[in-house]
Amino acid sequence: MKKSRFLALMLVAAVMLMGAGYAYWTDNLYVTTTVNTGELDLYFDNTVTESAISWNDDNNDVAYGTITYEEITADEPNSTATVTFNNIYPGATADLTLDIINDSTIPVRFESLGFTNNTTLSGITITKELIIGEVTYDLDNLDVSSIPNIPAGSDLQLKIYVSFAGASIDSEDSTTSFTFNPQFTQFNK
Amino acid sequence: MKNSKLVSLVLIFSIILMGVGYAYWNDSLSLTSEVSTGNFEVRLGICQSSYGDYDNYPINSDPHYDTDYVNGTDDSNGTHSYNGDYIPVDHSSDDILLIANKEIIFQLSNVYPGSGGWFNFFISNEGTIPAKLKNINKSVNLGSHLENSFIYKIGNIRLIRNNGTESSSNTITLSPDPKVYYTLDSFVAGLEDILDDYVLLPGDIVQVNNSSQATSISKMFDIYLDTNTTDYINNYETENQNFEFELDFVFTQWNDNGQ
Repeated sequence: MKKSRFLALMLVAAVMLMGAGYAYWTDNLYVTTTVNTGELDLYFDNTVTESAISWNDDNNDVAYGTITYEEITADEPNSTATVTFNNIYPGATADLTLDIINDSTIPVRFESLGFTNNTTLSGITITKELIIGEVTYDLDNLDVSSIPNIPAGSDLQLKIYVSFAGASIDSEDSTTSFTFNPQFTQFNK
Repeated sequence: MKNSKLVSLVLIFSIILMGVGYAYWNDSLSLTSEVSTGNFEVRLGICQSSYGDYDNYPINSDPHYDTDYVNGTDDSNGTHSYNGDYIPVDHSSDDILLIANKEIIFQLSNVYPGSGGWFNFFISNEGTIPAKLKNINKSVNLGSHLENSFIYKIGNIRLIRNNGTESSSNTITLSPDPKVYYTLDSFVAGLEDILDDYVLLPGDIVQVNNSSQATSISKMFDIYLDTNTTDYINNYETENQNFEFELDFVFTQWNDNGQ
């Protein structure tokens, strides 16, 4: 009997409290904020293959080239290009233009070129040029601070010209290479 | 016979009593009670919004950003095709919307480290009874991993009495100095802390803005992608992302207007 009274009292109290809760009016205001961030993304166009290498007319497939592209991370596909010119001989020339696609939505500037001539070989000349818009820059003699910011979405080109003019015995069965590992950053850094 | 006499007496007595009843004057009073309920109504309004490069990147003095020069059409490298002070954050024409005075939708796109956007707004008590902020509910709808990559800022907040006509005598400064927060939770808590101490009387307006629009990061409800916590080069986490959060300002009636 006491239990049933207690339960009844609890019910009454609960109903009273419900009443108190509903008694207050409320109103709601909403502020929804959406932020879509931009992107800074440059990568090599992997549709440029060995067939893009322009050789001297009488090469007849003696000298040949290979181009491979690799990703640093899954987010950065085709961020590394490896170009190899094989079986180069005195008199051979090779001309290749790699396209650097700029998918950035903000202006970009070069932070560093990361350009090094790892080895050189007598008689072999490798000319490297960077093409931004209509302007061509010689990578061998380039101060990074002189490069203008690159507008969003504006692609770049890296032009490589190889010429074996000499006939040095030292250059037989040898390898020469350079690396170009530019670091890009946003325009306002 | 005795029975019939008794019945007759009862009838006569009843009729006498009826007569007595009719003999008294009577009158009546009528009370009609009408209860009209109050109106509980708080509303939002927008004053202004903008966006920009918060590093104050001056495009006009930048020797490196010149589209004419890049395109080879300007040999002098002396003229610039941009007139603005900053390179703007792209935005659509509907970057800020006010829906039924109950919801503000603020959108920014192409935000990069060092840039952001802001807007000013006001909350008005359009009802007939006082209102008070109960709490602010936060929900992150998109990109919850980014919520602490941004800097949030609250500028000047003023409570203006008497139907919002601002004067020194009827304006209470709730938050005089800009407050900067580095997490979304602290931003919401800060906003709640400023607003929930005050009762909005009917006609009151809470103005959430800053009187001075001259400098960057001095505006009101401000969101800015942090350059300090974001690696400029290799932090892909903040690139090409969507981040959306909703703040639900819950107001409740306040029966004590003693503030």
